[in-house]
Amino acid sequence: MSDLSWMLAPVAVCLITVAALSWFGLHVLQRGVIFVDLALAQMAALGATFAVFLGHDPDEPLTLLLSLLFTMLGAIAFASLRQFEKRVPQEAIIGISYAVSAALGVLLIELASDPHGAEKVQHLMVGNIVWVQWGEVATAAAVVAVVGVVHAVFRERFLSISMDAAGATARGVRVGAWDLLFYMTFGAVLTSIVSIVGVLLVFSFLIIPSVVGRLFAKSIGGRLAISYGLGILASVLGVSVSYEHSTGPIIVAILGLALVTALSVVSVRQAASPVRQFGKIVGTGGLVLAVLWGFAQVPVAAHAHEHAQADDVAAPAATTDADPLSQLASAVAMVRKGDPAGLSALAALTQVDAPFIRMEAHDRLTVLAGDEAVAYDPMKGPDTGAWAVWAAAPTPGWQDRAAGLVDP
Amino acid sequence: MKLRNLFLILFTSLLATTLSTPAYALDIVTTLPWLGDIAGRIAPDANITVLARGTEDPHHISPTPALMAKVTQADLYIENGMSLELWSERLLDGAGNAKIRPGAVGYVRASDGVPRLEVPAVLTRANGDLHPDGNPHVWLDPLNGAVAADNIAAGLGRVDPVNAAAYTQRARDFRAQIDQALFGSDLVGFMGGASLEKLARSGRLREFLQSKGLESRLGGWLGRVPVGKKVVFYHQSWAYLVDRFGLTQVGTIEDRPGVSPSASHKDQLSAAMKVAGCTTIGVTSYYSDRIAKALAAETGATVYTIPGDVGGVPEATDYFKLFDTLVDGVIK
Repeated sequence: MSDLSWMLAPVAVCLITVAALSWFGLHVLQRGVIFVDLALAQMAALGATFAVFLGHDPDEPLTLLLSLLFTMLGAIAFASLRQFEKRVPQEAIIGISYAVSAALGVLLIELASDPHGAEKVQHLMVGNIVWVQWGEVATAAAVVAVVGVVHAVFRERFLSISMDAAGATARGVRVGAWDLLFYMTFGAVLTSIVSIVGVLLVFSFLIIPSVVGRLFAKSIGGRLAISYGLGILASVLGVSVSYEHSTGPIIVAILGLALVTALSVVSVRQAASPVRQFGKIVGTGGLVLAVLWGFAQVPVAAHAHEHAQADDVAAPAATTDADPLSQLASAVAMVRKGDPAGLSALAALTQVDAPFIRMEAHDRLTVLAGDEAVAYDPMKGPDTGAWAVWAAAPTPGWQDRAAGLVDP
Repeated sequence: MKLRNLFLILFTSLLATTLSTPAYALDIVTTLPWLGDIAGRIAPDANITVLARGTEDPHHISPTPALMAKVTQADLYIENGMSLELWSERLLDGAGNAKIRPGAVGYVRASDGVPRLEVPAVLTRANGDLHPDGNPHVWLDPLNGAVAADNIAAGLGRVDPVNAAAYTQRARDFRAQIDQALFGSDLVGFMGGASLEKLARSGRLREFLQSKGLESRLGGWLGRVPVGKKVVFYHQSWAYLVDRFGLTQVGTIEDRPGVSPSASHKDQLSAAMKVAGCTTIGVTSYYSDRIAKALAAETGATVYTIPGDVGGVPEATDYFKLFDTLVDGVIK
């Protein structure tokens, strides 16, 4: 594949995603709200489902607007519920929001008078970056750019409330308002990205590069640099090796492999005896591979699909009476063999409803009868029996004239 | 003693009449909307419940408790079969209605006797959700609708023998209507439906009509479809439509059923569409048309949202309108 233009749009989307999510991932990890993106994405889907429930199309701008509105409501909920953090962990509230909005989505689809579009809303969560269009890339880029400006201007504020909310409150920062802005901007980014790349890839780009960043760097800048580097590397590598396969899962697998490698490196570096730790890791990995290889050697059952029920066997084709056209063909064949039964069969066919069949039978009987042909117009109606009378006592020599018959 | 005998005779004859002629209307449950539509034509007085909606993927349905109750009370259960309704077996187990279990009198598999397409020679699971009995979407050939009507009439005759002749007659009438809609009433009047069906089934219809100079008399749905019309569908479910209408299927967007298409498949498909000059993409209403739109933008084709069953789009209100919509919307 020399033409690499197919890669451009998917890589562009990945880079936009990495640019936004590495930054948000840093905050999400620090705040310990790991699954907030899943909950917000589910709320965006709920908003779209609601639009479809009201009778709108999934592609309409109004649907996008409702999607955004529902995400914002989620943002408000998360920001305002932070005051209960001491008694109820934030992750509990996030999990509850996810479950309830997913359930409401299912119910709305059931209630929708035209569930046609609602089925499509479910595809919102899946996404496939290979099929992305430049228009979608531009929209996502615009949203990320706006959010990026807001976060660049107020980055100190955002960092201070994520790192140390209590300290920020003590210094007189209005944490609630800033939290709201944080979740709202995050929700806007998610709404624009999830439908393109899917929820699996969003979660992986959000969390994995940031986790690797925390493993190797203490400073915010260092962590961000590692996040961006890994995100960009995984995107370009993943898209380019995925030509024959599903792109999203390959990128996630690369990110996962990077995390395992990073964890191994850190554990070797921290160990009292690095060589022994290295041996342990290689040994464990080798053992897992050996066990999997062993399972791969188990022969596969020859017949994968068993038919439990005997009545599953295909029934014979319903036998219908031979159609007139087939009857005509067999009558002609009988006449050729000199069988007089073929003559009465042909005569019978001049009495059927279909003019075409009467005409075909009449034409052949006329050839066979020679001088004694019956004067009958097959287009006017069924023969009243003149040909049947002839067939009972056919003109001599019909056997010789049978050679002149054409196949029907 | 005599009085007792009299009562016994009275009782048994009463029992016999209630058994042979249901005083109430028959309760029929069908899995798919097209089966409900045809069942309604064969048994106009029956109460008919359809489990799936035309806008849903028939592979994945989860019936509500209200529908489950209908299955429990049903006199006749009609399904498509051929491993399409994977949820049907579990449903029948749960309903616990012995009258309608597979093999019982009240069970009809509508696809019985239909000539099957795409039956795999070797069974493996490597190709996604492959159907071991062949492609199950048989109703997309109108002639198979007539076969299903025969099967339904036979099932109705089993549970309601008194009216068996009426059911058979209605199935025959339905076949005549299908023939007229498919070939046009002029040609059916001239050649007879049975001969035309035979020719169409053997794939020699157009060739035969050409040899007899009758081509211009082909009307109906077939008369409106150009020979070898090029199309791309989303899912591999249109084999019967392709076969009956002589379409040329340039490819499917899903290269393997149920598996998201890769970049290489996208490139091959868009190249094949450009070479073939294919300008029509049909996406069943329950699939996302996002990928189809991307492909259309690349190839200049038009994307059509098409009904996979009766009710799949608002215009496809019955079995005949389903083909009206398909013929006029996509393959014309």
